[in-house]
Amino acid sequence: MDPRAWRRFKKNKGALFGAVLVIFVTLLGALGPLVAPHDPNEQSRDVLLRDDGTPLGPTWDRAEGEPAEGHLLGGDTVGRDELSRLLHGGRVSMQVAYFATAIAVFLGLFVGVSSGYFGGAYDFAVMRLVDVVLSIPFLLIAITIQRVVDTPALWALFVLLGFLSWTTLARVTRSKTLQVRELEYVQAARALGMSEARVLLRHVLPNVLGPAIVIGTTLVAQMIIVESAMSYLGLGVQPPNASWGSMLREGQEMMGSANRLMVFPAVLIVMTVFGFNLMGEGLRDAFDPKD
Amino acid sequence: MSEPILKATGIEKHFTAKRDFFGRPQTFLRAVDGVSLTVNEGETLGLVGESGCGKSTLGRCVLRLHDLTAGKVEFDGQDISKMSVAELRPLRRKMQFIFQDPYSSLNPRQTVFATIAEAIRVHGLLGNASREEEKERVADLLSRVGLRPEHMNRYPHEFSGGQRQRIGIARALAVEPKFIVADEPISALDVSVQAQIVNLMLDLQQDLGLSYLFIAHDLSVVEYVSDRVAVMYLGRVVELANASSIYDDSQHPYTQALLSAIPDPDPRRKKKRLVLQGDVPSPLDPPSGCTFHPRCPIAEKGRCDREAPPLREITPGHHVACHLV
Repeated sequence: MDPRAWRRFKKNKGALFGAVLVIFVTLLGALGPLVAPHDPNEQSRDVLLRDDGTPLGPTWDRAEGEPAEGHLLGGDTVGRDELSRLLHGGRVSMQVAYFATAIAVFLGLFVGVSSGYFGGAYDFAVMRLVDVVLSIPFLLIAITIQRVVDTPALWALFVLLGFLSWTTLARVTRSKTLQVRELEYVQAARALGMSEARVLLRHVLPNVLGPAIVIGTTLVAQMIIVESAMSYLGLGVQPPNASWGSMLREGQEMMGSANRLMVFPAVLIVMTVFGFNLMGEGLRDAFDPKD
Repeated sequence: MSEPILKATGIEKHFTAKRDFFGRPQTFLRAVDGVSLTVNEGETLGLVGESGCGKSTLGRCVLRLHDLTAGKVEFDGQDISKMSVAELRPLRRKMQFIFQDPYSSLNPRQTVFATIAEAIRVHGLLGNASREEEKERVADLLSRVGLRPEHMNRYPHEFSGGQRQRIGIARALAVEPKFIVADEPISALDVSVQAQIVNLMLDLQQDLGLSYLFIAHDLSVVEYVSDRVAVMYLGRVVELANASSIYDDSQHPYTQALLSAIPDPDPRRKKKRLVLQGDVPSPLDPPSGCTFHPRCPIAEKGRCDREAPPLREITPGHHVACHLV
């Protein structure tokens, strides 16, 4: 690792801010459930719902005489502690963001770089596979799995999301690899008698990583959103359990009367996405010596 | 100048230009179409020709950076034309390549030290040397090509084109080769820098006893560096002779046309300029007979457009492929 890369990264204010955001949401996901003040699924209707059935707001937005000490952000529509749900929901969202994206990036890079570099029949076969995977309707698979398996494990969701999302990355890295492998420094490496593996790992891969990092960070955002759609279909997080995506969707129903139920998870998702994007671009620039 | 270090016989390299629906090759581009030449130890063979005549492809073929379609390459007495990548690896040490474009021939993500040290390590040339010893060797190579040792920690983009070309030369020298193919090593450089690089290459040849295959499209540079010169047209060698005979006593009409195109620095001297008609024909569909006949000022109907002329030795060491000389 080049110490200058780290120095360039440190100088980039946006990238540092992104890294702070990423660390913050990651810690939320890792430690949130441990510090949550209440059971996220317990309905305290008498405490958190008003007489007319509307949920109690956060502490700074309550009428005179409304109690509920210790419920910092108030309750949701059925009287569950909002703060505890956000803290628990973060774990699922962050797991999806990390694991599903990791699967997609690894697969996409592997397939894209290898097919671009080796070409021929292998390239043809693999790229047709990409076409096939791209043509698979996401929902169809999700519903099928849900029908076949009663309560699919959470890891099934990561694997499914990962295996359906690597295609764009594979295409982009393939075309970049096609370009890089014809450059003279790759031929120079071969003329020096380096093994194919060495040429691939030392000379091709580092030079196609830039676009992969950027696509990878946008994938994180997509994964979090798609997870909420999946949980709606019965894959992934099931009610009453929470994830930021599913809380966002439930909150939408209360738009106008209790906007905060939508705004809280939305802010956290935006922080995650924004953080990963800024950090990703910072990483890309930091590893490019020309910057 | 005795033993040939490189002996190429009947080299052909065809690229597939078009495939049919089932992926079977349909049209071929004959980039190199039956070339034989030798490079003797310590000698520089210049290789000239227009863009697209196959000289770079030939240079890559003799180092087996391309697989051959047909023909045989002997390097240092060994037939390398059929060798596998693994069999070739130990020989790669002895033969190196200097590239045309100094901007794409260096990995932008490696420092100069990493680039050169990698070449040394791949062939285990320093054994289990410490980093200090490696640095010493790299510094040595850098000063040899006229760069300063402290340059080794920089990245390629921090250098000028001429400096980058020097780094490329240092990388090739790192494995202590005997034979170097230089593919238009100066055509991407400023004129003032061109002379420096050419002189550097000549000095290195003297100090290290290198043999060069020097590819260029500029005859005046080739005259300066080469012992012998081969002129290529559409994938074939049309004339091959000592540098002095090529310049003073060229026989092939194509060589004569190329020579007349060299600009003369003296504006008062009037020179007869032989301007060729038309463009280089497409190597996808080369002309019948002598491939030069559609542009040749002296072509004879009925002969030049039917029969391909073989490369004949007309005086000792002077080979020409033309019916009419």
